[in-house]
Amino acid sequence: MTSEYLIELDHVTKLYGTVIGVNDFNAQLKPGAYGLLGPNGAGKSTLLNLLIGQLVPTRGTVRVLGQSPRNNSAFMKKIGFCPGFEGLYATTTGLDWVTLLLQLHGVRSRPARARAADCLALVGMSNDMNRPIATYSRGMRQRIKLAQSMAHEPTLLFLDEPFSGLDPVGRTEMTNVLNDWIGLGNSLIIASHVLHEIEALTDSFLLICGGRLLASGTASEVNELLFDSPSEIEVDCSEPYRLASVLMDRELAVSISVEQKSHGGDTVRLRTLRAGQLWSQLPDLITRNGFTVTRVRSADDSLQTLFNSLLKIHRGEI
Amino acid sequence: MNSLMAIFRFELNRILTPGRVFWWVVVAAFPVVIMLLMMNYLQPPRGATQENINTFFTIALYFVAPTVSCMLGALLIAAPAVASELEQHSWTYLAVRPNGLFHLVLGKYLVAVVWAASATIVGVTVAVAVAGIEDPGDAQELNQDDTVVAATDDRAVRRGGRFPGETATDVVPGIVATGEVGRAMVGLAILSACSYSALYIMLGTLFHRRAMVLCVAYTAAVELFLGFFPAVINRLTIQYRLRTLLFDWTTQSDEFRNSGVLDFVSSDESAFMQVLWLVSWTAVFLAIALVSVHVREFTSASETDV
Repeated sequence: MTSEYLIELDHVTKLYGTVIGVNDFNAQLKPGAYGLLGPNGAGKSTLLNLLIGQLVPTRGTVRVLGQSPRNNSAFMKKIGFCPGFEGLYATTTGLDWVTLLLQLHGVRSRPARARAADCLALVGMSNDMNRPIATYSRGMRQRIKLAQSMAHEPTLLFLDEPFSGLDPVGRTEMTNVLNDWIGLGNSLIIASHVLHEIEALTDSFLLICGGRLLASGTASEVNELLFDSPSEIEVDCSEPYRLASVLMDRELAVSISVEQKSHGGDTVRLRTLRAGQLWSQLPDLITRNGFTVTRVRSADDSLQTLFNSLLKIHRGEI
Repeated sequence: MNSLMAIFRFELNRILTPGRVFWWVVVAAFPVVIMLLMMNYLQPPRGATQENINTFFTIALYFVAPTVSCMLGALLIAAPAVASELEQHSWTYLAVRPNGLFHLVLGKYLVAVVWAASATIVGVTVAVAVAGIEDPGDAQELNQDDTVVAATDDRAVRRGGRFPGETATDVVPGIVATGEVGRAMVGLAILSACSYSALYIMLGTLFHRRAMVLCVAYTAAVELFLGFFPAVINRLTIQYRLRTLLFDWTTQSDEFRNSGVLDFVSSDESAFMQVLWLVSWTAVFLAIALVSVHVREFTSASETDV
């Protein structure tokens, strides 16, 4: 790898006729694991196809592992791809399929079969790998897809909705497999619209919508972008109604509710339009009014909230 | 080479389905059935010589075997080679392998060649065996009144020759000199399978959305119509080259050779040149197909979730 960057996207635009798939996308990512987040139709799969060289950008340049990915055999040896669609041969067994794809990397027949069997065992398909793929459940097919992407030991893996169709146990197992794989120092780009799937693997992500990059970085870095954006906050307090009154007087909250906890104590749940302002004034306000506060937390500090907030900013709703 | 053979073996296994095997048998049986029908239902014209009949049977066998059977065999396997991968979305798995598309196209091409050539060769072999008769020579010397003088070989008589005293209209003779015709047909079948498979792979790659329809239309319009058109255009067809080889590798009656037909439907260049033309076209067709799959973007918007 001649570049220090895993991925370099320089003003990349991809048009399908008049439809924009990716719009003026810029990013420089160092080796590591990244989540590609976005709603359906955001351009995640288009971006992945640009990164693996299956699509050519209408404008801009794409470099992955320091190389142009298009028709690049040396590059293909280093990457693995698990597409979002199935596209598996129904009459072929899982073992034969993975063996064939390994042979296309130049591995001879016998070692390829042995390696394929090992890889299928890794994804929990040992008992079913000699059955035709047509007899597999959707979850089993997902496991096969994951196995074929990792079998030739690439250094960079592209996964498009890899947990789709997996049951909770399967998701956990595959998450563990991928975490082990990342732990070996490999890089990963995982596209999904389900946030907790990505959170289980990495806290670095790119959030895209409408083919544009909305934000990138860790969850905390992106949270800083939301300093003056709406947020929900929970405060466990001895005098919830007085706290609510003070907050309303100072126009720090637009809505407040008080909830009684089952084990005693009250929680003030408030919604603010300017989270940053509230966070900076809250300590002083508590001290001066003599409230006893046992806990303050953001009620919505998950990636889902972050995602929703960024989308609202992008759409001009905030 | 390992990757290419892997694709070849894999694809060969994949086409061994009951449906595809049935079609293989149909393609192989086609020339045999046509020869049997001709032997049993066609009456040779009065005064036709053994050479005339032999020439007619040889040309007929060429038309049904290396032409129709081989075309059909190649069409069934080669034309949808790329389209089928795109339709079932298996394309990307192969495209992200080192030289994956190169191996995919060439592997499928080899499978199409083997499939079409094997069916045609089996068909030709059986057809020649069925339609062949021993060289009548003295055995079927004709009298002035077109009756057979004598039959010295019962086997010749039993396999299509005429009994002494029978006229030419009583039975339909088969192919004389089966060795020469058989060898020629096998050679033509191999060249035909190689050329047509490459042609259909190229057309199927360039026009993958309507591959079969386009290949059938092209075959009818160019190979079967323009190929017989007595003009310079027919020199651009595979048919023209194969036909020239047929007339070079087999013996025709003097009447046929002197009729002037050959001037319009075949070339006066050597057999070597005809083979060179076919090999060159095969290479060009495959090169166009390979360039096409590497230059074009086959991943559509619908597949990419946009």
